Amino acid sequence: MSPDISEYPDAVDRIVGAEVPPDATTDRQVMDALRGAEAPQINRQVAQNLRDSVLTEDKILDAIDSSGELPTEGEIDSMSEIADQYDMSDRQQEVAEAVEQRVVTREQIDRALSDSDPSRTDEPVFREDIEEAVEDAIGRSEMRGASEEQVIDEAASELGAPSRQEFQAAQARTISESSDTSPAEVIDNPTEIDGIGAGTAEQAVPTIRDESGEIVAVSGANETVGQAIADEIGAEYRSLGELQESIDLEQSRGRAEVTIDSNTVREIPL
Amino acid sequence: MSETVTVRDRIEDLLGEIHGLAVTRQQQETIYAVVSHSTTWDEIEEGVEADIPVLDIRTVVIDLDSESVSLSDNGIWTPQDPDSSEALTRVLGRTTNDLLGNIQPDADPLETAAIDLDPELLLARELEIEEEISEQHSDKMRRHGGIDPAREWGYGASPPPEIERVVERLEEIGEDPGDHCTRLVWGKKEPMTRKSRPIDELLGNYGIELLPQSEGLIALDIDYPEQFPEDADLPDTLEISSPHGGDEQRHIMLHCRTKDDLANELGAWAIQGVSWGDLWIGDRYLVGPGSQLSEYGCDEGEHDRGEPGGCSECEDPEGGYYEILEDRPIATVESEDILELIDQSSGYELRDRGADPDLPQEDNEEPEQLEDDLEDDADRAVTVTCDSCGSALEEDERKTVELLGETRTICRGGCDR
Repeated sequence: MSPDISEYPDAVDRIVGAEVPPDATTDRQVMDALRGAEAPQINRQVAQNLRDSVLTEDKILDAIDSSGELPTEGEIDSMSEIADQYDMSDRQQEVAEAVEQRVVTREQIDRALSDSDPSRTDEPVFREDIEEAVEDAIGRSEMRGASEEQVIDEAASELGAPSRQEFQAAQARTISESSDTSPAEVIDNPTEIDGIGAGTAEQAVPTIRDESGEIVAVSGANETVGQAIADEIGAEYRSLGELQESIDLEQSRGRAEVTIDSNTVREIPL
Repeated sequence: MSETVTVRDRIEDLLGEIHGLAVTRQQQETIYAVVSHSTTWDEIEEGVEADIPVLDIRTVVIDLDSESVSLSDNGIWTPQDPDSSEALTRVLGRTTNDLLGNIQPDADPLETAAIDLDPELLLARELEIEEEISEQHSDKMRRHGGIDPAREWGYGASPPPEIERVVERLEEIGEDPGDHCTRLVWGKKEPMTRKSRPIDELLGNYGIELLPQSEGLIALDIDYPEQFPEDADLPDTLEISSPHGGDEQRHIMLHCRTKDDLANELGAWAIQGVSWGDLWIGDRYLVGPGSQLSEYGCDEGEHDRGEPGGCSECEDPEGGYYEILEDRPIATVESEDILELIDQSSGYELRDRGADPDLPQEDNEEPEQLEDDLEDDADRAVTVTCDSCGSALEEDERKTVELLGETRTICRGGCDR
């Protein structure tokens, strides 16, 4: 069986240098260039062996796919260097640049998401914002190494970003799962307070408690009762509408928390 | 003005009357054919004045797209006589059978038209020829700048003469040079492979591997000599300078009898971040003295990696060398000597190693457990190096990819060169 031409670096260097322009960076372009060569010794088998051994975008893309992650520009350079078996620096540069142009890199995603970092804005960041930013970053590039869904999931987790619907559901649950509390439960002598009688002392109003069980917000139709409880525990009495508006989203790495006055009421699973 | 001619007419215009034509290949509108014709030597070879009759066989390229016929320059010619032609025919016949797998066991592959010459004896005759080294791209070497053409090894002939001194120094401490020396890419400091070779197989630049073993070579990579502790208590030893940073930036080679204790204590075969540079215990390599960087191998200066244009030192054919700075025997140290040095240095925090006798004794189980782990190289987190830059990598610093059918490791985020 005749030796594989890829075992002769000088021959590969000579043939590729003569027949394949540096900007032929894909397997197909290399193959087309070689098959179009006038040199009669380049038959189909030789051309295939050369195509399989010289550095092309396809080999780097396969490597990126195998990693299971988006590549960085530096990693593309490193892979191009390793895959260049014949020390063809021109080709190495062309292929690396072609791949960087073609695929979505980690740097592109990070740049797109930097504006979405909640630590830099007063507004909450939702998954939908991340989806939009990632889609903009992708543009016409290819997602290789990781899926769009994977990238969005990772970014949402990193930024603590639930979807709008999840946050709205958490808001609603916060209000609907409020606990009923009466003045008698939290005030030693409730009837000493103006407007609180023996009957109203036992009248319960909706209260919101934090993760430790402490009351952080008071609401309800009976403002006198509600205010009395709020004053006792140092919280704020709010109408239902005001309560809804006071529910915030605190976002940090891997966590999205529903808060009222910076007190964590519940966590939204990401 | 154009005229209409046949392909045959055109071929005969170029070559004269032809004996025969064989089409060998068609690539869409382009056809390749081998044509034989009789001519004279001076017609086919420039500078020859002899009009000796010859048989010329060459490829003709017929391009129907551009309506052109051209001659390739890959012709062969033989004397214009029937014996030569017949010998050639038999060889081609043999070739055809070979390609078809139809070789008769007793078929003779050799032909001759020269009556007094036995081709078997001709093939068996011995010749003295200069050995060609192809592995390091000899042709390309000559095109690269910054390597002294007066140095034989620069063209793949032999390793630098300084290797002899390195061999002596290694053998003095009982190390086998063949276990440590590797080939580096010509004109660069990157490894061709990390596989060690016998000294007589080295060509051009070479590396000295620090092996991940319980005893052997270690090295201090001094990048910031002004940070090196003035009162460091280390013996005089072999030192190697690099082309950059003057003689103060250097590699200090030592032999350590308790390397595994050192690695065990540090939890790594190499550590970075010491104020003066890096400590290499294993799984790293030094560039051997005598190696020379070309402008393609230099990583100083503002040029793209892989492009020419390094520092003035490496661009100079007389510069770019790694040299023996202090030609001394490689001194032997214990792990405690190196740990003491690290303790004296800033930038790297050692774990609390010793127990104060006035304090409650701490549990000593952890070092033993690490010692067991040290023997199991496959599970150690830091015995892996980047296949691109050679850096030793912790587990969270590496990324694994499948490249050309092999599993390769690279620096996560890219190599920091």
